[in-house]
Amino acid sequence: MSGVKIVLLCEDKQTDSFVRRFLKLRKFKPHDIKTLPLPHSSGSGEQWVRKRYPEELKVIRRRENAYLIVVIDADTGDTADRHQQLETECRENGVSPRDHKDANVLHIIPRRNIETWLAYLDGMDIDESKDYPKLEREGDCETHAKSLYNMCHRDQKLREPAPDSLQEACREYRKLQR
Amino acid sequence: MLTRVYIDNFLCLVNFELELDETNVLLGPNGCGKTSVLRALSVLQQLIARSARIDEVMSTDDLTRWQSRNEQRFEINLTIQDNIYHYTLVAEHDRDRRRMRIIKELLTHNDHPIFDSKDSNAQLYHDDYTEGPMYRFDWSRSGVGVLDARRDNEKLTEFKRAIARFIIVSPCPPLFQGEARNEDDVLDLHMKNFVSWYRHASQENMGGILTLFEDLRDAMPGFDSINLIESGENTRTMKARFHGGDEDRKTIPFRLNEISDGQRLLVALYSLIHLSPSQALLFLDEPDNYLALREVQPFLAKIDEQCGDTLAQAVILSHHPVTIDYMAGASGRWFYRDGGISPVRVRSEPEQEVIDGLSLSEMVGRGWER
Repeated sequence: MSGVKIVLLCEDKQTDSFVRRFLKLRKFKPHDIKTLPLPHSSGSGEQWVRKRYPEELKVIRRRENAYLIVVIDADTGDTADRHQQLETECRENGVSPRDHKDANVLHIIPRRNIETWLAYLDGMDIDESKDYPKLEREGDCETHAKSLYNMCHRDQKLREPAPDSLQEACREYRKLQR
Repeated sequence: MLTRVYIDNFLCLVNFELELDETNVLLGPNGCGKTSVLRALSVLQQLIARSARIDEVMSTDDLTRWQSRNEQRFEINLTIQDNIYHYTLVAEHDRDRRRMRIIKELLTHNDHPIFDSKDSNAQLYHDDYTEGPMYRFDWSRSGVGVLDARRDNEKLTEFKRAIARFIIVSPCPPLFQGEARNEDDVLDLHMKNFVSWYRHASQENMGGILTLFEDLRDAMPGFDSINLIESGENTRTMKARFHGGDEDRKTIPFRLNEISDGQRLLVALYSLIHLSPSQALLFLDEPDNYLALREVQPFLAKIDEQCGDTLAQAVILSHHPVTIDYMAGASGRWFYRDGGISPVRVRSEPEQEVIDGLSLSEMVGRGWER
């Protein structure tokens, strides 16, 4: 079936840049990916993603051979809190939350945010409760995406000590079939 | 990368300042000066990189209509490999005689002057910033523009080469000519001479052809390749080959006027990405017109990917909702005017806070960004 194979719901351009580079290594092309509207940088990206999620979950369930990748920062909470909030958002909107039948729905939850993972992928030992600086240029995440691809996809093993949230994300990414 | 543009007393731009990043989308209502910025950059490019006479590239009609001043000022800041160039050009108009002349030009490299002229008298500098000879120039041309490359003015030459790498276009595919009688290294504003440019660029950057075809195969089902077929003395006709529906997958050539405007534009836009000179700065006025909705984001994602790699910078003018939703959040420059005839100003974010649940394009569509 032709058309977009991945619908990407994320908070900001940095995440979009990083995920697209990772997906390119997984052999997905620009035409396979549709990023849903990104919020303005001054707004709450987390809330933007959470509010749009139930509708997109409903839509992707009606489409075969397409994935919904949701990337939402855990911020100062933990990933379980975010899963719970996504579930609550669904229930409040009359949509049944993600379950085992939704293998094409990926929850990618960086803790505390994408910069934490970028720092880890840069070779640093990181603490998920701390803030890490943004990259100077969003496009400078090419090597980080390669590093994630090598560890998570090719070697199936992250460098230890690895952030728990990235371990979880790798399990999610392995659901992608190409 | 062009980091700052200052324009004063040119069309609707008065004391106008714009800061730019690697990727940028210029937004705003019709008539708020977006295209005028590109026009000003095109004037500077023709003066500096092509030694044009000032009266060949602008006229007294380009003065701001509601200003009585006769001086026009243009400034740009350009960063090339961590070196900062600052360029200023001041032109003076004689409204009665409809004449104009360049009265001041200053180029600095990391705050050191490397060219300084006033009223046709120019002070040249060596690459070690020491003073060189003084020259008298023709005031109708840029002194920086007419200087030839020499061993002791490499900094100035590097600046001129960067300006030459500006590609400023407002693509209009119905106007594309299907044949090339020669090779052009410069594109016409509406890309009418796209095939002549392609003929040149594909020779200069043969490695880019394969990636160009790959991207076009994704964008246009059945696309195979592009050929320039000899069709007369020194003339080449562009043909895009598509696979037929038959089983042996033979390809059928189509002339440019036999494919759609949208397909022509896809060929042109991806050619700009893959065949432009290394470190080109792309200035694209509404490149998303004519494109199918499905094609806009992959094109933007490709631009985004190449910026900072093979491309130095991209500045895109757009009203397209897909472009706004994909790029404006991080890279938007919001042009506005307070009232009808008033100077253009720019914000890095919309004036009004974005309403929860509304996309940026929907905010713009409702006029609620102001």
